[in-house]
Amino acid sequence: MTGGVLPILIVLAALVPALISFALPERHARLRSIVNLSGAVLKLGLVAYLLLAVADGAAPEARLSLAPGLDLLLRVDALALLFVTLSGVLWLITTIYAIAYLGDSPNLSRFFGFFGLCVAATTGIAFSGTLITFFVFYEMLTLSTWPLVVHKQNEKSFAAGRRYLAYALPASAVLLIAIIWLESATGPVEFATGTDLSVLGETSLQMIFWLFIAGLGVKAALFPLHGWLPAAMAAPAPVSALLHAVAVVKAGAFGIIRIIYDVFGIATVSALGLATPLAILASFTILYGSVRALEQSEIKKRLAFSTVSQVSYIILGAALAGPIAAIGGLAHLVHQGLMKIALFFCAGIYAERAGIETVEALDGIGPRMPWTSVAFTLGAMGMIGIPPMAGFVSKFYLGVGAVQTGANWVVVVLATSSLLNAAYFLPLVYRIWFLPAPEDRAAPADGFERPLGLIVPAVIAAGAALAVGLMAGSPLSPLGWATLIVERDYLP
Amino acid sequence: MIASGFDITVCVLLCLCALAAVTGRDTFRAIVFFIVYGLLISVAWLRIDAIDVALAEAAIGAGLTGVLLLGAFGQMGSADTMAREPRGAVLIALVAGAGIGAAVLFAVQGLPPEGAGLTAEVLAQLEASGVGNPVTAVLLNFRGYDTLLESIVLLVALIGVWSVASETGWGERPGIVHHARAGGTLQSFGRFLPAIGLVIGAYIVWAGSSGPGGAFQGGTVLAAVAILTILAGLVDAPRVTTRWLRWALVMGPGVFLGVALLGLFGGAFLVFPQAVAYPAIVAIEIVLTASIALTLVLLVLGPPREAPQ
Amino acid sequence: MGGDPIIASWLVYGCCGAVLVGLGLFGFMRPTTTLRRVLAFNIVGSGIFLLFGATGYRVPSTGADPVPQALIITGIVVALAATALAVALMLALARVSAGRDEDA
Repeated sequence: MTGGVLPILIVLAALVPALISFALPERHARLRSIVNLSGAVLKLGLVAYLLLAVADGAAPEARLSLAPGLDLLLRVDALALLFVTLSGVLWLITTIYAIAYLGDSPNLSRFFGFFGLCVAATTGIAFSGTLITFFVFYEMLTLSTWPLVVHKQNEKSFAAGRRYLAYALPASAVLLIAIIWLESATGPVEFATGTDLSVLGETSLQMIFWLFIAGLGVKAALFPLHGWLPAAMAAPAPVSALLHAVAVVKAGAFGIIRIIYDVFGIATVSALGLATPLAILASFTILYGSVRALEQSEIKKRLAFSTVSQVSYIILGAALAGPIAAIGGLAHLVHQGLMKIALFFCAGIYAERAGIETVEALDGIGPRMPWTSVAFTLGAMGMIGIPPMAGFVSKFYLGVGAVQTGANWVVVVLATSSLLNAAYFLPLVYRIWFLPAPEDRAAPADGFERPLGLIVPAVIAAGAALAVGLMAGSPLSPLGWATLIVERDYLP
Repeated sequence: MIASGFDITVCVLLCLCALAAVTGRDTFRAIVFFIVYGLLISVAWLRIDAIDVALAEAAIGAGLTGVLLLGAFGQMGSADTMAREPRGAVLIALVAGAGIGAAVLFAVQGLPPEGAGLTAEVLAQLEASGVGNPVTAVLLNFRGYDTLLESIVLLVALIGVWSVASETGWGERPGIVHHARAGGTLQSFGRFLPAIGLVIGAYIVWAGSSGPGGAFQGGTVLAAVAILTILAGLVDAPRVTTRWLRWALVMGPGVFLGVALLGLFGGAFLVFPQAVAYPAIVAIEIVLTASIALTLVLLVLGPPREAPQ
Repeated sequence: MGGDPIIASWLVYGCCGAVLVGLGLFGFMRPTTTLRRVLAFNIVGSGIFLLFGATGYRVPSTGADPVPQALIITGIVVALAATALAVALMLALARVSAGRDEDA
């Protein structure tokens, strides 16, 4: 019980720098950077400490009762830590990248304030021990993301922001309806203790489940609720990285995992005949996202549709109702984050330093921007699923898991999707390395790959994506940790 | 420890929001801080176990008052000028604020920690009130006087608001004309949320007899629904001279007064015999909700607009 | 759970209410625009409510005292009515003085 303050401290490690950022006058750039970076480092330290404790079997929690049936509960379990570790690592490198990327542009106090709020909300989502706590942090994330999407304050970003709200707010209402419906019958839902669902009829449970999926599916960009995500590309590159890899889509996918495993339980989901339709929906989203990615000529748009596709791997893993597929899905939560953030960092560098925004403009940039291009290539290879990259590991587990549960058709989906991934990523790699550069490309005065604050995070993220694939056998790798989660909590 | 930490955090945030709302230079920003303050204070109410107040505060304090102030800011713009103040006015304000604040603070911390108030008395008499929620029992039965007068005060305030209508405005629709972007977020929500809001509002009224909720809390939610659809430009408010509107406005206090007078036959003004207490309270609550909701909508919308030339 | 509270909730919120009264009063009296005075008046009001409500929660085991709660709900609604009237008067005053400026 003594560890109860730790989850609170970890949330505060992101929240306090956010509040300080809001209060700081615009000109104190250095102080703002120091505050945000030290928050990120502090958070990582606390998370590392918790990782060791939880590996030993501890489950610290902090509870606060607001009203009868309305308990706010922060509870640390292995699944929560998987997500928190990912967001902690990525927050640090994204902060470094954002400081370099945004330089001395205006409204940075606001930017870093909401950025920190997003991370705090994501951490809260991960640690949430009750459905209500989850909802509170989920809404905090919804609202604190909007100022980031419209950060540039031009016509395009406001349109993207409106679109985001038009998707996100009805989804919140739907999610709330699902929660009220469920809790009015069962009482407060706590993830760790399980819920007695027998008081509700089969049809009610099915409807509640789909309401949950609809409410969470917007953030997870599940077809047909994904429309806001490609539009949100109007935001600056660090925000895209945050949306796609760290916070928003991951929060949706994480929520769906919680609903499947900790609210309904995978056995109930299968018994109600909900698992297969969800797996089919996820599979369709995987293929749909890939096909749409093929037809995009803008790099960021292509990456956005790739996210639509890749996040559904996580949902597919959860819906397949088998331990190995579950491990694959959980590992992909981390793997996709690392690979996608590397890709977005690189796309941001290409756009910012070389003015490259479309696929065609990439010709021959490899030798001129070697570090960025190597990182981009690693990320792309991982997305396709080429061994020994991280993406291969999770796809392999998903495939084996699907066969294990008898859903052989999933293997076809995975193979097709990998082919499509190759079809939309390999041309980029080919252009980067093998096509001649256009004559008229002028380098910025201080060289292409400057400042280091942009290049280093991209290289680290790509290196990490390679490393977690190479060292997937280690117990502290994402795959090892996902195995621990499934063994400890979800084996029937 | 966690509970105290949470309480202190909420209080510090409340004071910071109030400070920003009071001293900030930009009025728009001050109003936004005030709305945040209203939401935070409903969390404070939850923490001191006053769920009914939390409901009312979230709906009225943050919601309707916020809309009212934002609307006033929109209409005033820069026309709201500062009156000339004598030198040292800030100093006087500072001394007065700090002095009174400190005096109240001193009084609060000196209160005996075991004052149980009237809880025991209310709970002992609860069965006689006809309802299960002690707050509703106090509102509509034990201290029905206050509530009756309050519903009349609301009506009087509305008459006051209407009476400052411009000369050409009388008989027109209240409030300014609202234009929302067709298909935009506001309009979509104006269509989507009322369905949910109506259910929630009606539920809160109905639940008020046994749990947290009641006419004022539910009426506010219903009022918010109406205001949202009007702000979204989907419907326009009725003309202030509309007959049904006026009947609906006086209906709540009227029925309340009528039931109270009937009590004279049972013994005294506002006394409900135990047998009819529950139906009487529910009946009063339902008509009162409608009147309160309407009055709140019209109060927030303001006086009738000027007639088109 | 995190152990017993260090300070009773009612005392924390009661003191907070007192501070809010002071802050609101300062905002009401300092030289500022009418709209801001109306806002500050609302802060004074809610500070008093919070103070009042907190004193009704001194014995948490019996729950919050329903009598202050009922009076506060009444008060919140009346405060809204007063604010609406104040805003209407303020706007009418602005309209009248704008008309006078044009005449002059």
